Amino acid sequence: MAPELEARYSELTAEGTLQVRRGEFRLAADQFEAALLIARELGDQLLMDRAICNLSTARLSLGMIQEAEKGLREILLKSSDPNIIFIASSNLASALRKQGRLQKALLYAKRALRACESIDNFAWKATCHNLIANIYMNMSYLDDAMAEYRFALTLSQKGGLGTSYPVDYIKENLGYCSLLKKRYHQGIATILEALQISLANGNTRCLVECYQDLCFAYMQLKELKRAEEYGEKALAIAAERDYKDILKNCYYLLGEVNLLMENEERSDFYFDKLQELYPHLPVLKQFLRTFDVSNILNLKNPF
Amino acid sequence: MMTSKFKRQSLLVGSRIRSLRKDRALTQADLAHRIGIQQSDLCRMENGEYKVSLETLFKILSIFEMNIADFFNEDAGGAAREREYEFLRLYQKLSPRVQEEVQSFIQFKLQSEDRVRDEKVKKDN
Repeated sequence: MAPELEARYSELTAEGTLQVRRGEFRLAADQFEAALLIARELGDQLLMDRAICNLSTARLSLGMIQEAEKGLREILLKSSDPNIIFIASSNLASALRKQGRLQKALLYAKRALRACESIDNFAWKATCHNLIANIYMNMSYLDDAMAEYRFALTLSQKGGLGTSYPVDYIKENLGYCSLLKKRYHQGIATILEALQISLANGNTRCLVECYQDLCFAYMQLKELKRAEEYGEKALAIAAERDYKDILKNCYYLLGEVNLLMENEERSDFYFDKLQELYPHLPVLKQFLRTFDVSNILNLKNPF
Repeated sequence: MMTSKFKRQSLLVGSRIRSLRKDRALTQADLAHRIGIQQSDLCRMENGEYKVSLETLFKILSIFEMNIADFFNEDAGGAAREREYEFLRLYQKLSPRVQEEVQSFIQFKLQSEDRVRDEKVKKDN
């Protein structure tokens, strides 16, 4: 019975990991939850810890931040397995980052990096540097962030990762960082590379971020028709996959793009959609119609 | 409805946040806590070195209970401007249906003024 259960556990874990890479986070969470139940049935602590870590990864992507934190600190207190410590630390860092607790997030990200040193896994090392870079980007330390993204790409090359995960994310983030530094054409080129990779990898989450960021880039360059096309692509996927953060950004971007195109009816449509999400803030729509806030925004700040 | 000619003002959010915070006698620590960010980040935000999410921007608007007039106030120049802000503030309080009525009335008055101007030009000629 135990070998069968262990095999089922491995199968569910592998399926869940695949779903994460495809951006199918709810399906992934279901697989990892089922794996956790099996691990509990087996009474195997290592398998339980691994399942909790994996479940946390999926929940993080679903925006279930409080749930994603559950059990990670306990794992870090008792586990000596560097693989487990890596995942628990980096997920905790991501959860803290999404709550705006950036200094603490950085501490855990660096702990994950230390755990990574003893593991021969270039994808994880690159992921870890990507996470540190994301935290720097959220702190608006853009030069530090770019250095970390570039280092993550170097590690990916060294490890022979080619264009596999997480290279798509790293390039996408690096491209967006260039946009924040107003290097629009450089940023667009990098994001287009990321777009091609994420299409090939079937990484929908990365793909939708590429579309969103290209919309922003072309909006800043006043190539508005192109901006609108990318924004609409991002919005369609975000609505289908329930990516709430992207959805809000797209309503803002498309409202802004249409306003710049003097298409006030379409602009109102999108700003109204955004306004509906903030009923307690009745001035929001008029505020966005009145002020250009594009230069003070970081669309990837999760808090 | 506001037309886009009002629109192209890049928001200098940092300096505005600082003055609104001071108007309300809030310390950086107080405000940072309410927004949910580090005090050092708020300091950089006030200096224009820190980019924010839409979420944070809306949270700031909500904390200060801002209206558009608050932000325009930065560039205010005289009583005429003040009257416009007051108009805007009152307008925002109206229901959407009544806002439409006000807009129609303004359109009507603008057309009347145009007609008077045209007639005057004809007479002068």
